[in-house]
Amino acid sequence: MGSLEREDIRRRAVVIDDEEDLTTYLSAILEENGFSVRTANNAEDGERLIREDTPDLICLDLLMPGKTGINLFLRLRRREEPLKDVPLIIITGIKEQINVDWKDIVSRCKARVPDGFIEKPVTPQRLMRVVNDVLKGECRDRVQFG
Amino acid sequence: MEIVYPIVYKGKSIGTIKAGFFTSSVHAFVNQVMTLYLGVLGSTILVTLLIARSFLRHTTRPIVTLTRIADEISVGNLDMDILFGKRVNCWEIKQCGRKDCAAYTNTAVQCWFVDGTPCEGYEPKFPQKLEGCRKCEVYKTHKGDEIVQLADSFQHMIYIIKSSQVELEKFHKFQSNMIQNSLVGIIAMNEVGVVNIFNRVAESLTGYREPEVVDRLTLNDFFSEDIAVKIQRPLIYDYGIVLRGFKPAETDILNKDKEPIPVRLSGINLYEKEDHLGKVFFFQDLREIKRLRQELIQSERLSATGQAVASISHAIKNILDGLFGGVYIYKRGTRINNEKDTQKGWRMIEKNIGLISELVINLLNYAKERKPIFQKCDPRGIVEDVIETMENKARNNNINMASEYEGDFDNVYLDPQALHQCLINLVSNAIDASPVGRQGHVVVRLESKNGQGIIIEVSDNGMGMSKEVYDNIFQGMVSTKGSTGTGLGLLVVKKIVEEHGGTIVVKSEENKGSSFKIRLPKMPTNDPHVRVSDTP
Repeated sequence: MGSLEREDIRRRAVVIDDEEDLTTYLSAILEENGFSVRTANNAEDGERLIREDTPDLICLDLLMPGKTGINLFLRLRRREEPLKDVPLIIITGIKEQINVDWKDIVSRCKARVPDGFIEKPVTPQRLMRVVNDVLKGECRDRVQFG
Repeated sequence: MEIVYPIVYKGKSIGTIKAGFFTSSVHAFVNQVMTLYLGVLGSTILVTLLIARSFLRHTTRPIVTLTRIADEISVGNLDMDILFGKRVNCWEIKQCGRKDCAAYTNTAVQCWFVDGTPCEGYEPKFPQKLEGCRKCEVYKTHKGDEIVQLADSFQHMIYIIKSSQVELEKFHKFQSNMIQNSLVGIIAMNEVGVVNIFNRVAESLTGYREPEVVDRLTLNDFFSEDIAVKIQRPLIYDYGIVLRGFKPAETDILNKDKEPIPVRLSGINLYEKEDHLGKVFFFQDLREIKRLRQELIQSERLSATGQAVASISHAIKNILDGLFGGVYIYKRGTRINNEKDTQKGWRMIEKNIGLISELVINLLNYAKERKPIFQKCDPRGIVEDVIETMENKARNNNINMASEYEGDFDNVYLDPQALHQCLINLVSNAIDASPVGRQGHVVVRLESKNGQGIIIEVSDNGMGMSKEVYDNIFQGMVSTKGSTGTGLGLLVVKKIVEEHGGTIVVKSEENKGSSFKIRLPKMPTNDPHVRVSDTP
């Protein structure tokens, strides 16, 4: 696995998923790849982590109890939100989420589309490919899929 | 011949007068007269005979013929040709070419007897049309005296009887067809209770064949005494009203071997004005319906399983993540010699293997139709087994587990595998509902009610359920556990409880806890579908 870290600064990531095993797993992969990771198993804690120290990357599970995941996503990506430009990857177990008409969501909810998707079950290779493509910022208009 | 006549004067015979004629001339005269007389007599007789013969031919013989025909009709023979007078074919005379007309090429009856002939200007129906028909050239060609007209009327009558007979036969066939091919069993009885209709479904359900039953068996051959009394009640006056029938009810019909067959029975009494003609019973084999009901439940369950595939595959993906994650972290741990990681990784692997086993077992249990196999067993052993199995999970979630027993468990019959599955699911859920910020407790309580079945209760002091969740827990794949929950565990519990003929009651209060109380009845002893195993 290639490391994109600079020696003095590790990029910071926040991983939010109600499944503890998954946050442990993603956290392990990202750490191996030069990230320092904070995790949360519910939307409330996750939002707190993001706001107290703006990360370089957010990995968010939409399907959390209640509609907390979706609501958090909409809050973080709405037009007035200063954090809306933080690169955000959706972790998803249901393929349909990827095929959702995000353009429609964007226009109706006035929210920025996610920058990337990673589909469960996650493999280190796929995750890092999406993360790297998203952070390169080369294709900010296009959504990256993994 | 001589005639001597005395002459008498003043009382004295004074002489005689003799007159004489020759007898031969008298004889000749008398002969002449006799001959004439005989001739006239003979002629008269001859003429009379001739007249009588003619009369016979025109009148008496036709009447005799008609009488014979009437006799034939009365015994049901309608295939006679009655031709009196000249046969006329109206279509030949009229040259109308009306093939749509009922009289066209109809040689069975003369056209003036046929209704609805399109001849102009006449009334459509017999006998109103007759007046007009008589003016018609066809009629005039046929033209007959009163005897011929009488014969024509006979012919018309036979024609009508034949048509009615055909209609009647058609109707009878239709009715018979309907009765025989009905999907419902039909048994009809006359006013004294002797069977006169017995259709195919009745045959197949009871094992009797129709000839064995019709005119031989009665109501009491098909219903036990107490049932026979109940279904005959409608005949009894009730507050002055005779009830004509009774609503569908589930009861038993006796088959040929006098075994009771469960059926759904309804019946009506047949009346002609006030005369009771008999009874008709309609019934459906309930065994079939019960089987179909089960199939429906089963197929609903299967379709729910299909619908739940998305939910299940989601849960499986999460479990896979847990396994991949566990392996990844374990490998990292061994690579950098970090024991914390290796242990963490290994725990993740174990946990997710457990989760996938649970999911698969629940899925199979849910989709499969399984009749409980009752065995004599001590349910306390099963409870202890489950507690031991769930010990790790409980510890990881900071939960304290305990068991409580009340009553006598020496004579308990239940399906141990089913009970085990129920407890695993309920205890697992209880642990998952662990409270935040305080010590969690899960208690499994067993109560045996004097051989009347057992009560199993699993209660926790965890998060409890909101009203929305509570209302829907048994409805489908509802879970509060975010990604890994499928709601399948509770559906399986419900299914198992139903299969045992038991009940389940749920109580819950948000942030206080929940309890699931299952009542399993004692094993039914007279249900032929109950399986009992002797091997422990």
